[in-house]
Amino acid sequence: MPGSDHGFRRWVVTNQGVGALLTVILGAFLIHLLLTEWVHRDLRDGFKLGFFPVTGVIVMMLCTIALMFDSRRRQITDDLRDIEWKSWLYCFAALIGWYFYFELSQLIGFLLVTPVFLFPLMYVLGVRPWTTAAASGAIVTVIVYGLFRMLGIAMTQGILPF
Amino acid sequence: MFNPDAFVEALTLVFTFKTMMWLAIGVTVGVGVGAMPGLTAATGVALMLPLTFVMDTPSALGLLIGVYKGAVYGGSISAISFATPGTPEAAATVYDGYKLMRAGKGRKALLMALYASVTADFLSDVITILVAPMLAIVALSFGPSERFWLMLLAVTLLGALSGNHLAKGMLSAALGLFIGTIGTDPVGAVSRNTFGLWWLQDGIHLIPLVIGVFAMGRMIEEVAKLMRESGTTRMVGAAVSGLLSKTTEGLSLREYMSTWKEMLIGLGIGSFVGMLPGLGSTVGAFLSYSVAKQVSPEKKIGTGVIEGVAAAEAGNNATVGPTLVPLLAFGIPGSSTAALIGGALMLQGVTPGPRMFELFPEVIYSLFIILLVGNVFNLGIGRFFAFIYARLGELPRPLLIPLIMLMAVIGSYGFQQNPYDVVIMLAFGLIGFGMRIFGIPEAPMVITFLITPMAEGSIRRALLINQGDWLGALFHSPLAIGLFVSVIVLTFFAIKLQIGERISEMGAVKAEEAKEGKEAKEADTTED
Repeated sequence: MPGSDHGFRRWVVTNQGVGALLTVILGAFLIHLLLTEWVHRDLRDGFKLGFFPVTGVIVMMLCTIALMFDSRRRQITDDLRDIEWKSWLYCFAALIGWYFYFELSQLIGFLLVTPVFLFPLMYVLGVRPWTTAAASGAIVTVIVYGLFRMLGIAMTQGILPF
Repeated sequence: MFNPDAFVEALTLVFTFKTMMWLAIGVTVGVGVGAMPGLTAATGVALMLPLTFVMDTPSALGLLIGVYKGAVYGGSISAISFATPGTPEAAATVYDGYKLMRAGKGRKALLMALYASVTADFLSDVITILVAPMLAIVALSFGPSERFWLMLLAVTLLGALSGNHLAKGMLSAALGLFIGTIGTDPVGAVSRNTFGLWWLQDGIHLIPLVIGVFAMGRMIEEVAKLMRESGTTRMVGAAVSGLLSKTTEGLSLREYMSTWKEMLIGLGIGSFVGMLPGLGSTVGAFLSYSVAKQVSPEKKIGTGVIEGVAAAEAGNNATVGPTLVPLLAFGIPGSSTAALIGGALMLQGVTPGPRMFELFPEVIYSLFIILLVGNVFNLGIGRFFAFIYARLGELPRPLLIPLIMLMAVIGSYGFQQNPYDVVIMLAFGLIGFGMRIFGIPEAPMVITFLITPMAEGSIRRALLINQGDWLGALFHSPLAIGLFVSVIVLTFFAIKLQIGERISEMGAVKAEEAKEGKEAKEADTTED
């Protein structure tokens, strides 16, 4: 493994680096799985309850080990080469943001929370001027609400009577 | 096996205003999804899946098949207009399509793409209708051991042929296997693999999983790209306005007929590729394009001729119907979109597989009729709105991304009003994003996830029949042994020959050529 920090950063995004990381995670998970009681439980037909889950993890591990040693171990995917750490940050921020949006829409209601959430999101993504972002947020909310209501699909109601 | 009563019932179910309306909506949405770069047929179908929960079966099938057909064709619109394939399967269309566009024959290229798509799609649907019932009869004679090996063969094919790296394809399949075991075991209904979370006892449902992987995961990737590219000026073709003009050169019947050989190549290759699990329409398009180029060197495919567009588009659309063959005949989806259509059928209480022909013949006939009628809608909607759809490529992504993310959140909640489904969807959004940037194909995961309970059920039934004897259960018949040998041989050749890698490399060469074409376009725009 390359010694310098730069070399390590480059190695960690290669198939070998990602494979090694995943192998460690999967190895720890496999040990955890084998230490749980239900995995070894015998079912009435004589089958082990954990046979398929453990098989899944073992096959995953074999694949990640293959990634570390096969002929393409030094390859880096285009996306992984281009990606910056900030992208992971955006990814987590987006997921956490949508989670909080959903919690709030359950508490307060879809119609109230959605435009308030979409406006800053659209603005951050580049919709200008802010009035367009706000109006777009409101229009998207009404369209989605109308579509799902028309089909009779339940939506988060919150404090609203509808 | 033909059941005339069920056929008449299917006709009355399909030819209703409601079903036709959903089919038309499906095609309209699908062509739009396909025309917008970054959205794929699987994304469109995944987003529409929760809506089908409240529909009857023909309407649900109409919507999803409409989206599928429309999206596979729609990808060609932005491929021709902007040299940016709307969907991966349209990448092969860029080379000739965009050259025609630059030569002022964009309208001709768009019409050729449409007619080739619809012709090949229609004929491949006929092949599907003929082949699926015959294979289903064969599949009905399979016992649990044979079914188990058949599923393993399908998973091996998926792992070997999806993506460009065998280890990554198999990793994806193994992940699907693991996720498919979360919840309860399919025979005794004993809770397992729930990480101590009570809400996982029902297992992970297909809808939050596919919405997470195909919609949320892709949109997160788009967000990351957008944030990285902020400040850059988007160059969208002003030349598109020329397409709207009726004075631009169209496509004559003679020209259409002159491409029969390329369409036939596309039909043959696309239909075959579509039936094989793991390959899909992108491979169909590239293979068809390459074969047509070699078969007819005098036509100079690659220099901006309609034959190139016809071969690529016939090749990708000819996979649409046949991709349902493994699902209908064996209960094994051959592609992500087939898995989603299978999921929609399950939501309607219909388990896809050979027994479907006996138990739900009216659903099978409805599906076949919708496959055929969908082409008429595709032709009509594509013919009259393609030039307007070309504008969709200009739709600002900052508006589109939040809309799709919102639909993903609301769709995964709405289908059974379970807040935990949203959590699962978001988690799979992260997994999908990670898989995409590391080049792990999603299809093997989704398909293996779906067939894991069936595979486990089959092997355990085989064990019960053989009183716990593993050898007897696994190698119950010569067919089971034959299937086992096929798995071993396929795995050996997949490792030795790196089949998936070779197919992807062929696609990469074409994509590189397409990229060169696009760069030339950008240079032109800058000069202007």
